[in-house]
Amino acid sequence: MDRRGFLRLVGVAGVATGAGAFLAACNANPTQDAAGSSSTTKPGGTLYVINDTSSNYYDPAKSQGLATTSNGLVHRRLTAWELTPGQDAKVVPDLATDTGRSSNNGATWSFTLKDGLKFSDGTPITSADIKWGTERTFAPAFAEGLGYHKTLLVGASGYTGPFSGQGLDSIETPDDKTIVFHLVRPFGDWPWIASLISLAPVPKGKGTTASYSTSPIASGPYQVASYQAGVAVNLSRNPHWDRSTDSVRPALPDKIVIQLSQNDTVISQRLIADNGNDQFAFGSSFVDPSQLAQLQGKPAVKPRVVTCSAGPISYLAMNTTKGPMANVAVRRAFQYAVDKGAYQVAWAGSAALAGPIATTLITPGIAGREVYDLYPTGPNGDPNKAKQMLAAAGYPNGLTGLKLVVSTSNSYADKAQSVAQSLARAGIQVNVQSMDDDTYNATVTANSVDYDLTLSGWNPDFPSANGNIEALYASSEVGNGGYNLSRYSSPEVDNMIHDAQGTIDPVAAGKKWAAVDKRIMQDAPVVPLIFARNSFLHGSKVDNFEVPDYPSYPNYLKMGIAQ
Amino acid sequence: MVTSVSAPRSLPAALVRTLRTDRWALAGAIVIVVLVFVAIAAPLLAAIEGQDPNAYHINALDPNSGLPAGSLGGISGTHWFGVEPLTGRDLFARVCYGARTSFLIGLAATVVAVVVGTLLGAGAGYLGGWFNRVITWLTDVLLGFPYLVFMIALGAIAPPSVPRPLLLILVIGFFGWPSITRIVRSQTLALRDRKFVSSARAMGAGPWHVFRTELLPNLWAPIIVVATLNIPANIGFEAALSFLGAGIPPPTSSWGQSISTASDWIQSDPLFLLFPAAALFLATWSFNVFGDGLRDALDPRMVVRR
Amino acid sequence: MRLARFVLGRLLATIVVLFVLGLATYGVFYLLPSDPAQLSCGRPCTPQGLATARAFMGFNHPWVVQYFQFVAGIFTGRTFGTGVTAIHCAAPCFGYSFQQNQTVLSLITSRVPVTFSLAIGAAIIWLLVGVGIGVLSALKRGTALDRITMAGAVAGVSAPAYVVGLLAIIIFGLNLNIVPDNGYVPLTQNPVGWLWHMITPWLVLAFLQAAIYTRLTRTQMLDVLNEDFIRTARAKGVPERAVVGRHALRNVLLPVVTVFGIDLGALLGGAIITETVFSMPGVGALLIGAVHSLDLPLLLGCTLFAAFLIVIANFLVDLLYGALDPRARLT
Repeated sequence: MDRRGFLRLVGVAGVATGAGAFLAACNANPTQDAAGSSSTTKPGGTLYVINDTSSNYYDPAKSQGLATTSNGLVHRRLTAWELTPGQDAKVVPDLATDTGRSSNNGATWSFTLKDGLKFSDGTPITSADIKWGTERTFAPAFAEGLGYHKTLLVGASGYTGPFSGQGLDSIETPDDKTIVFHLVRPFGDWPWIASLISLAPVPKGKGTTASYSTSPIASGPYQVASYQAGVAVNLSRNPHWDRSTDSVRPALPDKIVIQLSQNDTVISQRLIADNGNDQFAFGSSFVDPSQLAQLQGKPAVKPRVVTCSAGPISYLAMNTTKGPMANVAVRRAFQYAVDKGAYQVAWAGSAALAGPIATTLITPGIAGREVYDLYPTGPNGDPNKAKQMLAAAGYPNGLTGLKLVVSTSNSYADKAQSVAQSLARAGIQVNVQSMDDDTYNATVTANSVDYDLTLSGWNPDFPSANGNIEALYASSEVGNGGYNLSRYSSPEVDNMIHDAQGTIDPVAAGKKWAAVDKRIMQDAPVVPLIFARNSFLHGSKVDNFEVPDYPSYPNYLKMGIAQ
Repeated sequence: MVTSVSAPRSLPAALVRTLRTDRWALAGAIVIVVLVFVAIAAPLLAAIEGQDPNAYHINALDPNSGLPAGSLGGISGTHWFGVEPLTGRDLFARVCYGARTSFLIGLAATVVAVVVGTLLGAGAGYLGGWFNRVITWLTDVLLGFPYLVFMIALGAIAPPSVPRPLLLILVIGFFGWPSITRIVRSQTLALRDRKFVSSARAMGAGPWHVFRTELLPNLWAPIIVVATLNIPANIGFEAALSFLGAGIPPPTSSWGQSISTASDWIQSDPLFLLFPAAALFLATWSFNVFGDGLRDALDPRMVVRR
Repeated sequence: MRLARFVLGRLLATIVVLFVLGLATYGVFYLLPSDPAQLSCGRPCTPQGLATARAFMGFNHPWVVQYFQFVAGIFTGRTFGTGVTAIHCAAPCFGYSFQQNQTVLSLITSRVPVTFSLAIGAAIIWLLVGVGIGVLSALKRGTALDRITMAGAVAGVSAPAYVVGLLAIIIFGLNLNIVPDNGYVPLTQNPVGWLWHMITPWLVLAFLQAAIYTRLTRTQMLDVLNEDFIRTARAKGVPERAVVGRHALRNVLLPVVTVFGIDLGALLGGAIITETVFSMPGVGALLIGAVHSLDLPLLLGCTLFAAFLIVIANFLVDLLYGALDPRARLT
């Protein structure tokens, strides 16, 4: 109940919450593993999604949802995500015939739409509708969604949306099938940006009121049949969606019911009990450690818990602008001082449940990631080495009075105590200060701060290394609501980020991102702790339930009901 | 018959009488004394056990699940009440230290609420007029506050330099007095026209004198009943605030926080819930039975029926 | 005539109370370090986007001005933004929730049936049970029955709502599977389903509340039974049933009514914890959601709604007080 329904919609960046996992990797249930893929699950039935949030909105301009959750059922985009457990996320064509063609060195991107695309009202989907949908995100009334495109499109600064009759010239639609985006600089990740909900089509001229959140015009396989505020959303099939044009959405269930405002603990207990309609249901929030522990004794339920093998990074950020933490030698000593093994236990009870120890910044499941460890040590750290390093850095008596701020949500206060106790082994004395989640977020992203350390997590909005690096380590993200919590500012790294962003070839870009990752860790602005596993529970009749490493979240698009 | 209040017993006399005649009240008093002792001597008790309330003991946990190792929530010679899941913190030490937090907040907030509530309620009931109107209005305003929400907000805006227990005491006490004021006021309204009060007034006694000698002795019973309900209610309040994420911040131990955390673990580690919940229950029970006994002894009219 | 003056006076006072309450609520939440416009700025949020969001939501003025805009909106209605996308909130406008895309008034009215069902149903149960047991306990003072019911009452007082609620769901809803484990069915849609879904929350809430009434009733009853007029009645040979029923109970009900009025008023404004545990979409759940998502307009609306109910409840209690006890004069 201490969740911010609004922000805690799926795929929220900034605060990667979550619990541990069972050893089972991110697979669908074993029954259906044996049989192969979705071929065993026939279309039909009703799927129930149990949400702990009080709302579930479908306005593409206002949503911050992931491409593979509820919004992905209703809205298609130019491109889509192909997620397979155990493999890196891939961008694939959706409405478009390919994932985009770049010219002008990567600063211009063109897409061509497939034939036979229609909205749920029967009108054809044209390039003008995608332009309109994109322009719409600039209107102040609808500006609260994902805005990655807003700083990239030419002439977007000061643009306030299409409703006053003003279009955005940097989005060209030479014909009904072609759309061209002109960017202010080369940007290799544009195919990923095109997969985000903010670039979904909205029929030109439509979507003028807030009611578009609850009664949108669908391009995907489902449409919103009814929306009962705070209670449930009912999705039914979109008669105008053509299966032959859509390779990413098997769209198996006939109906999908999203139950809202459900109590977290009760959700888990209902799914464990597996009574009535709960057999066709899954929980959209993480199963927490207490329930995982309860399930240890229930072998019958265990197969219905699905966990990714790794997930969002959880890290200790050090304020590089203040006191001893400004000294890189001290920050390097911290890499050895922290007991990551103890952190795993505090996170979810055991290393296996919590997820693997992190030594890098880019999260598993993202293409181009390279594994390295600049500060090799055992899972419990090396307090003696940390002491020596501190002494060499000019702190022979250790450090005292460091301020570690955390949010009170997700037991971060208890996790912080674990970190504080492990630092104490190396003679580093820390005062933990916990605060309400809203206050915490406002405090750590403010322009001036007074903390030395903070614990946080991060799940990028799209599976590119860019989403992992720029938001947390670019100097532009310090303060002003940005999540560069270490306040790390390096012109060299900024340039490297810029260079990697402008690289169009994904393989070459991946190499550059891996280099940035390593370069940042040389300056040690954070101690990477773990790649947290997330676990989800589903009913006995839900099939094709997969949780890939990225986004560590169930793929709604693939699920079906066992007939 | 009884024309004036025939000298109700003084508080100490009533206390002695209650403890001598009422076995339940005696039991309640003993439990209160024990709990207060636990609260005061928490560091000593933890030291005897050889544990610290905030130290993590990962070795005391089952490496597969994070649950306490061993049966019964990890109860052993080293951990008398077992340990917390995930952290391995010693539950005995945490329950002892939790008594400090809970009693401090419960008692202090009640004192604040009762003192303010009685003075304002009796004043409003006895004096009437504009004072009564202002107080009635003020109680309405304060009772109108959805206080849980406000406590969350106040907790968020108070600077970290303000000690959180003090803030909770003031806030809980502040939102607690109006309900006491209302009860005291209505009792005073009923007493005001009784013969002994009007005769005292006729003899020229001032309001403060009437309050002390005539009103207060007759208000004791309801005040004690309200206070005995108030202390555990305030302890529970702190618990509810912990549940909503606005209680005493960790790592300081409080029963409320332990109970709210433990309720998540109710199926996998029920003993985690048992000890803090039992402590909270004992505290509530003891204040209630003791208050009942004291009330009987303080009220002279009760004696007749005994 | 005196009654009319009393009612009018209280009405005026109520309006002043609500105005001050609203001002205080707004002020307190405005002091929070977080920025409500941040949530409407999107992610990533640029300083320019933040300024636009702030201006659109009307958060770019000093908070006192914002509050007066809110008050004015009650009489004149409000419009946010311009052109076709402008959001209109017709008078009486109690604010617009940008996060829920609805006017605060419509949000609250849609939740009221849930909360009222919960509060009124539970109140009837706890009043009957609490007063009944309290009277019985007082009459059988000192017996095993008295001790047992008092112990039960103490348990009810000391049990946290979230633990009792959770236990009830786990035992009756999930393990025994005899009652629904969550949710709400509107009375108008399916009366049986409504009753069926309400039973557990009612009983849980009533169990927690009845304890207070049992104790209160018992204490008052013991007091009253020692009053002169009861003794006189007894001495005159009035049967015990009549003594208790006609003479004693009337006096016992005075303080009970006082507390009941306040409790019911507060509950009608939202039973935060019970609604949360039972996943019921009531006003309390709406309020706590508004706190956690920093939805200022909604927060203000819910607070005022809750305060309004409490103030009205107090007013009714005072009226009733005058009717029950001629000694307590209306002031």
